[in-house]
Amino acid sequence: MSKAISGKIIFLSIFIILFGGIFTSKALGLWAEEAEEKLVKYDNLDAYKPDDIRGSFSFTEVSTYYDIPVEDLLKAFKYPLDVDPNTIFGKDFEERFATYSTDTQELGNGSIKQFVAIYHDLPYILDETVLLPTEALIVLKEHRSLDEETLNYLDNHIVEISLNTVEEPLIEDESIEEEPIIKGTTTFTQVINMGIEKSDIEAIIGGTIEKENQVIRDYCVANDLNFSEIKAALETLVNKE
Amino acid sequence: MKKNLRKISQIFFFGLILLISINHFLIEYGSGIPFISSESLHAICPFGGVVTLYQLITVGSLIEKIHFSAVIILFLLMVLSFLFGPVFCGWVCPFGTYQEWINSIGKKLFKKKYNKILPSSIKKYLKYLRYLVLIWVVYVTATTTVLMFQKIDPYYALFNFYTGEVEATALVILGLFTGLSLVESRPFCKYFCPLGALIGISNKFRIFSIKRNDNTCIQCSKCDNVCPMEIEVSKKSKVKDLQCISCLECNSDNVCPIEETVQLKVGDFHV
Repeated sequence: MSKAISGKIIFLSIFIILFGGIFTSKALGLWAEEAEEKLVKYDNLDAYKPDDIRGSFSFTEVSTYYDIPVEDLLKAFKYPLDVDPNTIFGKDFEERFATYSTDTQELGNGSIKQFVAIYHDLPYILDETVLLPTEALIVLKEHRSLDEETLNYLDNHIVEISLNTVEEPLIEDESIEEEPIIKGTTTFTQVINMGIEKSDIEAIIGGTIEKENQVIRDYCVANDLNFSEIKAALETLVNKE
Repeated sequence: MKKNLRKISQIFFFGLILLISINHFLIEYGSGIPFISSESLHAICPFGGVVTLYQLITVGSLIEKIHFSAVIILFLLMVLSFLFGPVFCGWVCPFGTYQEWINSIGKKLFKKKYNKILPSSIKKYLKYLRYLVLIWVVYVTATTTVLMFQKIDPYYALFNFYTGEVEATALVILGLFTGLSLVESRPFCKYFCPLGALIGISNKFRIFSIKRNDNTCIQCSKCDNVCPMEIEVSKKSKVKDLQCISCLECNSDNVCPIEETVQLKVGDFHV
């Protein structure tokens, strides 16, 4: 009669095959749990593809594998410079920047991929679904000269982040976190609808409003104006009303 | 002790996965449990290996969130299945274990109605649903390169519900199958699990199969009643049912009262 297999043999086999297999694959260097082992390089470039940046990557890992100073990443995504980059993950962006996302665009892990690609001018499709903070544009401009196509892309994909860069007080003192009156997507029409005269807005921007439905930030970028200053002046005006 | 080996294995793997998932959560906040892996569950879930295979073969990369370790675990699981059938389902899978624990409560609550609420005429078709789930998940993952199963995965939801990373749909499905487990044995395994569907195929060609000796069998049907997958073992000389999870509950070492009558073995019983 042929030999039967008992539960004891099944029990031992499971442990030997599973754990033996894992230890063997680790010994052979096949067990990929480090971030770098998940990255793929371009065929003709000594650089990893930004596509492989996972939401689980910390800023430290992004910095290491994509050769970007941590300070640039922190500045670009509006974090305090003294925060531990090991604790910042792309997967948390969706929640952190939730108020800036729309049905078609969001500031999430894809924003890190896009930032990395533009930072090093890597072959990468300009993703229409991602948004980047205004600070990212500043960092990118400081790092290298951007071509017209990239600048046009960025003009349409940056948002003014009004998050307090020190996160804790946002929870402790709700009065600090007021909804900004002027956002990165606010148009001149919306400000006029708040009761502000068109002529008063023109006095602040120092020019004529030709398209009332134009986004104010876009106007500022096109006319080389500082959006933050214009925004602050307009908000003061709205608050007086 | 011999009869409890499966339970020991189930408790061990449930505890291990629970500790790994908690450790993964803690590590992100600067602490952790010593000597326990901090990998994400995606790194050690064999189904991750299944859904990424298409991209791995065609593009050479893995889909988002999946690690190569998942492919290795899938391979090891296939080796086990080729030898003994889907022992992963019966002895290792923490979600199967979770359902069995809920099952034991359901058995006490519903007694004879347990496993009888869903008519068998529906069950015989419903058990093919998991193959549709498998095809759908693999197709959608291959075409979108997004780990879409996470959005409906009750196993991921069970071990990560406190992290804030679990989709509401997954929590709803976890609740649904938890409730169903009170009236039906292993409902997720029987009707929905795509990994179980895949490795269940090994029942057709595994080396060691569950066999019943017709000459010594007294037709007491204890093997039928104990089977969590509701297979009628007493009507088969060799269990090749795709749903078998090789738990060995039906064996002569366990519920079968006659020695050497239901066994996991290679070759036939001698007359």
